[in-house]
Parts: sequence; C-alpha cells; structure tokens
Amino acid sequence: MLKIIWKKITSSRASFLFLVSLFSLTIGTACSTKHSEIQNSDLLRAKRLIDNQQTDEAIELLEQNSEKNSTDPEYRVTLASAYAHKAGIRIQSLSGIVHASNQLKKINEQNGGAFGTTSDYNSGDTQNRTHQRLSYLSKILAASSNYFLLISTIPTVPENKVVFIKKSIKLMNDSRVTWRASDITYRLLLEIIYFKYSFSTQFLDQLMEPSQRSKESCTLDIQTLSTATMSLGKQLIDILSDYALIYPQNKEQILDRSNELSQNITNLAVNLQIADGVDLISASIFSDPVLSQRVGGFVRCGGHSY
Amino acid sequence: MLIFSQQKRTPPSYLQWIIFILCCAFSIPSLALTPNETESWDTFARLMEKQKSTDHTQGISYIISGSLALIGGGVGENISSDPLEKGVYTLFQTMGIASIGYGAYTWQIGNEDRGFYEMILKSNLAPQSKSEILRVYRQSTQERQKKERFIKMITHGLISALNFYSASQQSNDSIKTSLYFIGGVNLLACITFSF
Amino acid sequence: MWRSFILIVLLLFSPVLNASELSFSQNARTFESQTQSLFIKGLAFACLNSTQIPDDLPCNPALLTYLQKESLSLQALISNGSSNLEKIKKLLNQSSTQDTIDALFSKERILQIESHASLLFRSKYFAAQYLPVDIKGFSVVRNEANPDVEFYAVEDKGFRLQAAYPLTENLTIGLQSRLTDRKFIRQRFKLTDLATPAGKNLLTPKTYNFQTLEPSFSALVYQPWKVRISMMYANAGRYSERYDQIDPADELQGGISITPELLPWGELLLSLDYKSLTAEDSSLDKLHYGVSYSFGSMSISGGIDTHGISSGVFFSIQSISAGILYTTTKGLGDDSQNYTQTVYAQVGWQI
Repeated sequence: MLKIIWKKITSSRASFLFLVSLFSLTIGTACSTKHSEIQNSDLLRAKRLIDNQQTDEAIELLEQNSEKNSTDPEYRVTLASAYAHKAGIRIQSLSGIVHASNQLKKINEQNGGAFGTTSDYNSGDTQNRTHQRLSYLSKILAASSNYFLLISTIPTVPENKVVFIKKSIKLMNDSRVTWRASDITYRLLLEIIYFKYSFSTQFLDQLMEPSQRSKESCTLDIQTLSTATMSLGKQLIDILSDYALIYPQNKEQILDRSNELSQNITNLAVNLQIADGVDLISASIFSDPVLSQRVGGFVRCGGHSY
Repeated sequence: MLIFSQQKRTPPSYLQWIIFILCCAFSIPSLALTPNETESWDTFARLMEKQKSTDHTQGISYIISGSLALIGGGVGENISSDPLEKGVYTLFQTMGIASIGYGAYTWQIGNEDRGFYEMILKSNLAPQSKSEILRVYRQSTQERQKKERFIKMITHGLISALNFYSASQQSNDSIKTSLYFIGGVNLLACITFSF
Repeated sequence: MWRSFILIVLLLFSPVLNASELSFSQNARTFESQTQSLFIKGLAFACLNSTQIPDDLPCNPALLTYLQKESLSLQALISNGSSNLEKIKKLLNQSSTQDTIDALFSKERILQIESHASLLFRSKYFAAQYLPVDIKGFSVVRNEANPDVEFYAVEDKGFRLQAAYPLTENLTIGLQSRLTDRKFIRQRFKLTDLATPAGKNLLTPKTYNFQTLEPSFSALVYQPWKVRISMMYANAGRYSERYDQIDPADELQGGISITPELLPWGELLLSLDYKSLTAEDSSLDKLHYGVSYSFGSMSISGGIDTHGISSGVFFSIQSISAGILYTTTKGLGDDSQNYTQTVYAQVGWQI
C-alpha cells in the first residue's frame, strides 16, 4: 500500500511539491494567530492578568512603564482599575451603581430635585410657609428612603482595601491627563464607593451607639465629626462636579447645588464648632450626672447612665 | 500540460453571452448513464459491468461511512453534555443506519437498468434478440420518461401556483418571501420539465 | 531544484512569534460579513475550488456546472451560545433593557452566537439561495475592574444568485450576485460609556443594503491529481452606505487545489485560497488552507488559517443531512488560556 502511494507521489512530482508547500503553510499558519493590538501589548497583557485574578502582576507591569505613559488616559485608567480590582471592585458591583445612578436621576427628575425647593417655599403667610416646610420635609424623607435603598447597592470596601481605592482616585485626578467621558464616569463611580465608606466610618460610626457604654465611648467627638463633615462635603462636591462633566446639560443646576452644599457645610462646620464649645462649658458647669453627659451622652447613649 | 491553453479559442460573442444568461434559467437533468436507442447489447453490457463496479464501490462506501456515523454518533452522544450536540449525534446514528441500508441496496440491487441487464443475462437469448429487447426497453423507458416529465411538470406547476397563492395571503414578510422562493423554484422546475 | 523550492516555502511561512496571549479573542469561523455553511466553515473558507459542497451553494459560481443533481433544500445552522440569541435580537431591534445589557456584558467574558437558516436551490447552470434569517454576534469583555467591551451583532437577510457556463471541458465561468439587507452594531467601548450622554447611541444599530456582482472562473490546469485554479472578483457592487469596518474591500480572490489519488476510495481535496474574510485582514490572514475527504455519505472537512483551526464531519443521506463542526482559536503548541472554542451544528432537509 505504501509502495503504491510512493509510486503515485513520485510520478506526480509537481503535485507532490504543491502538497509539501501546503503542509508547510499549515504549520506556519497554525502557529501564528491574529494579533491586532501589538502596539498596546502591555495594556492588553495587564487586562488579561486582571481577568485571571493576577492583579499584583498587572500593577507591577503597568507601574514599570507608568512614567513613559503618564499622560495616556487609557494607561492611567487601566492602572487605576487594577488598584480598584485589588480593592474588590468588579463588573457586578459596577452595574449595581450604574443602575442606582440611573434611578437617582429618575428620582431627581420626578421630585423636581429631591432637595430642591419650589419657588413659593418662602412666600405667603406663616401658615403657608409652615405647610411648605412640612411638605418639603416629607418629600426629603420619602426620597431619602429611596436614597438609602440605593446606597445599599453600592459595594462596601473593607477597611484594609480602602488604600487601593484612594490610590485609584488619586491616579484619576491627575490634571495633566485629558480624561475621556468614560474615565470621568469611572472616577465618579469610585468616588461614590469611597464616599459610602467615608460616610459610614467617619460620620455614622460617630453617631452610633457604642457596644459598651462608658464615659469615653458615649462622648461625641465633635471635632472629628466636624472634620468628617468637611471631608464628606468635599467628596460630595467632587462627585457633583464630575457629574456635571458627564451631564453638561445639567451643569448649571449642579453647580448651584454644589455652591449651596458648600455653604451649608461651612455653616454646619461652624455650628459644630460652637456646639463643641458649648458642650465643653456645660460639662464643666453642670454637676448633675445627666446634664454632665454632654451632647454625646444624649446622641450616642440615649441619655442612659453608664 | 495546460489543457485549456492548447487550442486557440475565439472569445464568446455577445449572442453567446445572451444564450448563456438564458441558459442560466434552465437546468439539465442528472448525469445518469443513458445509452442511445441504437446501441448494441455488447455496448450496453460493458456499460452495465462498469455500473456494477461503481455501485459496488459506492455501496461499500455508504456502508462504511454509515457505520462510522453510527459508532461516532453513539460515542459522541455519550461524551457530549450539550443537548444540541446530543441531538445532532442522535441524528448521525439514524443517518448511519439509513446509509448502511442505502449502501447495501446500491451494492446488491442498483438501478432499473442494472436489474434489466441481470434479468437478460440470465436468459438464453441470442445476442440479436438481446439487442432487440434492449431497443424495445429503451423505447419504452423513453416513453415512460416523457410521461414522467409531463407529470412532474404538472406537479411542480401546481406546487408553484399553490406557493404563490399562499405567499400572497401571508402577512409575515419572511414566510412570504420563502413561499415566493419555493414557488419560483418549482416554476423553474416546471419549465425545465416542459422541454 | 525542488529542494530549494521547499526551503523557500518553509522560510517564507516559518512560524510567526506566538502572540496568542496578546491576540484579540476572535471566533475562528464566524465573521460579520460572511454567511457560509458548516462544510465551508470546516474548510476554513478555502472553497473556491470545491466542486462538491454538500450543504451550500459553491463559493465559486463557475463550479455549478460540476453539480450532479439539482435539489431544493433547507439548511439551518446554529452555534453554541444559543442562549444569547434572544438578547442579540433585542439589541438589534432596539428593544433591549438594562437587564439585557447586564446579561450581555456583565455576566460573561466571551459571548458568541451564529445562527442562520437558508433555502437553497441548486442546478447545473443556475442556483439561488434565500436567507430569511442570519444572526451573528460576538463580544469579548476585558478587564473586569473597568470593562472594555469589543462587540458586534449583525443581522442579514437576502438572496444569493449564481449562474455558470462551461466554455470548454475544463474551463468554466460564473457570476454571482448577492442582494442583502444588513443591520449591525459594531463597537468598542468601555462599559462606563453607556452611562454617559455620548454613549447613549453606542448600541444603536445601523442599517444598509448592498447588491454585488461577482464574476469568476475555474480551470482544470493539470490532469494528474486534478490541479485546479480559480479566481473571483468579490465584493464589487452597489452599497447604500459603505462601512469600512465591516465590509471587506473589493478584491481579486484566488485559489488553487489538488485532488490527489492517494486513497483507493473517496475523494480527497486539498485547497489553498487567498481571500479576505474581514475588513481588517492582513496578507497572512488572507491565506486559508482546507482539506476535505468525501466518502459515501460522509464528508470530513478541516481547515487552518490565522483565525483558527476547524474540523467537522457532515453526513447526507437521501433527504436528510446533518453535520457538526469544532473550531478553536488556540494555535498549535499554545498553552495560553485566552482562546475561544465554538461548536456548530447544522441540519438540512431536501424538499
């Protein structure tokens, strides 16, 4: 059988030559595959490493050439996303926030801006103004319950991973880079995630009842609260300004909100400073154990003894 | 040796192009071996022996390939977990059995001409008589083929008319176009069988 | 002399640096602008010289004259990933919701689907195909921390008409015309782009239609082992809109094949084609090598090109036919994890 085949091959040499050429071509083409992105090989490799949960290797690869690509937005956002990935940010967590942001927008549109007042808020007699304020309060409460529901969809970052989120946001705040709309959206999402972390640890924690009541644990650290308020306020302003960049048609409205927020935070900070002062004075004046608990005693521990 | 470059050919004229386009609308029946009316028994016998050999090869091919389909389909169905793949493998097994049957039929029985040849071969007729019977057989075959073509022409024509009518009543665009397509194809077949 | 020829060929086509880990994960045999049957996919589209294609019109209309029997049949093909078909259809019909977007881009890294049904009429000088439905979709998502999506979805409907004429015993000419309505989305974007005003229309499909006229010829040039050469001028015609990212340019395609009589039974065909399958194919990408072996009711096909490797088997007996095809983008000796595997299944019924 083999002899017959060999005889046929040698009798048709030209055709056999063609056969061998085709065979060589087989090996050649099989061993080469399409590579349409060689010019972005580092980026592609880094993205594959992230997908394969080899985030540290991805960060190392990108950091090696970060100076050469310091103004390349794609490079910077990929490095930022690698850090975010290290903090546990995934597609599933992002889609929840995108849902939330769309719903937030709808709530805002439906309520005429959840925290926005109508034109006759300050008009009319006392009865009318009271009615307006009650109506505004109920609107805020209703919207707030929706907001808190939405806030729950925002992923929570563990304490030990927050540093990566902060690093990620810092990378995305480089003014030398011309950021694209998608990059600003990503930065906004990271800022929302970090805001939630800050709000719960720096603000809410201060107001929550301690696990064990004592004079120290029931004390409200107004100074820390004041600092936290300023920091959260700044974060909110950053969030609003990024939102304005993404939705320029709402820019003016958002800028107004931003200014209003900035003013309110400043006022709040001042009020907190005053409250701190009054608190200290009252603690030294009143000897009554209940009255000497100070504000913290009432806010955190419900006025109970410890 | 380049076959087509040996002879000098004149390029086709415009008339030939027009004929080519017209011919595109018609098909020619299959390439069955059909010797002409005046052939001798010897020629017919040589043709039939060749046909038997071809049937033998083809029949064995279908039997072997059918067996491979049956075995391969069985193995594939056991290995595969995807329902779609399993379904295709089951179909392979069914087709494998059909292929074995078809192969056996082709190998052992063959077509009508072969049946006629084997029948005449077993007889003790003289060669002249065999040629005469062959001539009559061919005549009768051609008459039957004419009748067959006529019946096919009517059948395809009716199918075409029915599909065109159904298409005109159909509201769904895709189904309408499919019915027009089937109608058109059957109309083409009807025209083909009318020649 | 022939030794030096082989050496030149080996040097010319020596293995390119294996860059599969950097390659874009494409599907090996599904392309936006190509609608071909299972057997042709198995051949890696190296079909310009294939005279016997059991489940489709010949790639080269000039080869119609080699058809042995006229037929009218229905063929339906589907690939794995069929669960994504509804989602792709919703996107193309602009009836998708946020849940559809999430399901498409958030849950799976690679998504693929090809599904089409066609009515085929074939005869010696004329053939026609009606494609009522042809849907293809492919997406790859990279970087799960800030998803980078590369996506296409295409829906085609239309006709393909072929005519052939034998000039001599060994030289035939043919003409093919494709009349197609196409709806497609082809985008590369970040998932966060969908939340921006500019990104709202990213997934809006574009529609256009085209009519092509593609002449071809085929010549049997060398009788031992039936060496055949074919050429076709493809993609020439009228386009209502021309999208360079999806429509390959007009080009002259060529192919050469041999039918070595090495085995006593069956017919073995080895073919090499030079043609574009996408608008981005480089010169090396245009080379496609296919091998087919027909034996009884069975036809086996295999093919290799830079897009991937394919291998399939097709059975046809009387009025029923069925086939299965495996394809992969994983190259030989490649141990990277980044490759796509696709299984296609096709059933047919001769009416």
